[in-house]
Amino acid sequence: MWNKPYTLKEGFAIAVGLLLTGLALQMMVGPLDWDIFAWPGNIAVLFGLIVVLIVIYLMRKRFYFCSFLTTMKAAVPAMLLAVVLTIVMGLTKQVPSDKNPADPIGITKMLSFWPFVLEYVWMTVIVGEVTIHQLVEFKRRRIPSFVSHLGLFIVLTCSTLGSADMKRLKMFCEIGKPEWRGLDAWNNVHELDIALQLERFTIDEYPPKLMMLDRRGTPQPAKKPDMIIADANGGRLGGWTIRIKKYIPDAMPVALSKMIGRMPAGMMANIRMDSLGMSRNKAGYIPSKTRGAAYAAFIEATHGKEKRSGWVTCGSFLFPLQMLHLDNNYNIAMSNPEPRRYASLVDVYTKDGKAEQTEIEVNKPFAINGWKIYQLSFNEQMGKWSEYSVFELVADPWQSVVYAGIFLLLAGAIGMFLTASTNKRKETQQ
Amino acid sequence: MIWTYFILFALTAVVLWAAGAFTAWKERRQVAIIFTVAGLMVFFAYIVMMWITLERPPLRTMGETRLWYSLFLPFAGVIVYGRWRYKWILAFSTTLSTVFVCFNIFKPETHSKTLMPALQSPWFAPHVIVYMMAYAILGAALVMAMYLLLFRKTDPTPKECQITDDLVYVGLAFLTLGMLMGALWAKEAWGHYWSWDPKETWAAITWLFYLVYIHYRRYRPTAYRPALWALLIGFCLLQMCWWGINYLPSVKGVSVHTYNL
Repeated sequence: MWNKPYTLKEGFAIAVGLLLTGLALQMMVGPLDWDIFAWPGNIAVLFGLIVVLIVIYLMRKRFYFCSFLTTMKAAVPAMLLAVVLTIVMGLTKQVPSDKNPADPIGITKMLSFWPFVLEYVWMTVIVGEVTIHQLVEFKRRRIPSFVSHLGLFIVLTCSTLGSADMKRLKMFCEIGKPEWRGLDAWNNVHELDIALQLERFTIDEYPPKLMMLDRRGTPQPAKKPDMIIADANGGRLGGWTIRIKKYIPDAMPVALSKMIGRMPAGMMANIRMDSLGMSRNKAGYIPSKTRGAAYAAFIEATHGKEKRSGWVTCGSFLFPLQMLHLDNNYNIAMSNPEPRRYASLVDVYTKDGKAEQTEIEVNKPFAINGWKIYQLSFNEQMGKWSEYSVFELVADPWQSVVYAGIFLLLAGAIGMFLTASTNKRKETQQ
Repeated sequence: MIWTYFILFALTAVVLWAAGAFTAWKERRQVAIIFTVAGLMVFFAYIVMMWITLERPPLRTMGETRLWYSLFLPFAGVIVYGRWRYKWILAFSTTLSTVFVCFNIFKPETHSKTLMPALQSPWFAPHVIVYMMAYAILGAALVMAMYLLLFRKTDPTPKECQITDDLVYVGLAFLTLGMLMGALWAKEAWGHYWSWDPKETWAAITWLFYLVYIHYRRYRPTAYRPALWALLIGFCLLQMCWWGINYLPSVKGVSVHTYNL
């Protein structure tokens, strides 16, 4: 070993050496804290890395090791070790970034595990060195490869170094109240230079489903539960034929709706119907536009000569769910509806005087002053009657650089696709 | 409801593909291509019907992604066959595709129209379809590798190695496109382009591993055996990424990539 020219053996020796060095580091200094790369640390490290890569390149003729870096014999072991460590990561449950590793070695927090970091740094160094090499000895047919290496180098360096500058905050907004404070992962409060005021929160829902539950509340059959969509005509559930006679999307128990309107609003806000009240509600359900209305259906279930009929509802914060009792073991219940789309109409204000109204929904964030505002969640107990909306505010100053890398990689992939078979044939001919 | 018709369409398609494979073996090229393309059209017609009745792209559940995989495998097969005239490739792609068709026949899923808000994005269809295409092409590469390793008694010719490499190049290009589209989508939906979610971790593993193959082939073009074995391992990693992780205890309840409920 270590006779020039090096082979895969030496490549593996270096990669394994880095692994052991990483383990030693892990034992001595503990998991790597990425926050030390916060601005301007990250730009300094990136600049330093590029200078080192160029110096190494210039030393190619002087030191064999410097030219070895751009060979497959260095690259293949580096990638393989990175794969192995990433597989370990994929097989173990990882802790969130604000927690300490859950195991003594540190593999449950792989992103801070020194061997992992060193293997990826080693791979990045090789990618960077190859990029310089392909730039210096530029060949047209190598463009896809060059673009891919350059893109990958940018993505690897800038996404990791830039992560320390990324801010992710949660903002809880109540209807009608301006909010300018956000919570980070450690629940620290941050005052921001933008404020949100929730004007309206809307949910479109898929119609709920009817299903058969056993006494423990497990949908039947347990392996693959049968369901009927509540706005259909009916169907079969566990041997029973179900007919949906009446379906009301916004329904209110008659007993409750009689109370509404006769009470002062303040008192109404605190009223809830319990199961006793529900059992006394003999008159069923009527359509209602009142807050707290929920889906209800009048159904008829038949099984041979047996026949049951009654109301089922998924309930809301105002009144509990109601099931149709079939026999001692089974009931028909209505599931909670699943959201099809939820959105918040908000006014956005910034300290520098911007004021905009916009609708934010999942997959449609709103960007302003370096922040992206995402619809995150809402009061799920209240469902469509939720009076608050939760947003996530993300600022990632390095995003545009990383995106440049991503687009280069995309271009490289397209180039690789187009030139897949032609390139190598030319090489063989040469 | 439409799922009950699957068996009719699937069997017709499989019979057509099998006929294509048989005629290809008998060196009747045009007939083979016509049979295979007819099978593809039958199968695709079913997917289109499903798309229409579900009122959403049928790409959400495992069973639905298997549909696309079963479609793209013979598709990749017929392209390889049309271009390089490998008479056995259609037999292999048909067999592999049939395995995935059988999964869907014997282990059908509940199909609902529900599409959670996170999936309602213009990125949804291209991200998953490109990935399925990549998986199918790399599946074809596996078929080549298995044939060369296990069935062929003699050493592979340079042309055969070339075809295998080309499949990996094209497959990896699709894999890269799928992964990066996923990253751009994740930024819009979840606020970050890469979060090391278990699915992302395994996507990175698969991607890096096929890169190892490419680099190794350039290092030692004549040492084809380790490279062909690598394709077998790569295919296993890929299956892990696609559906294997759903069975990993470490992933249960962690991944945001689970839409099978």
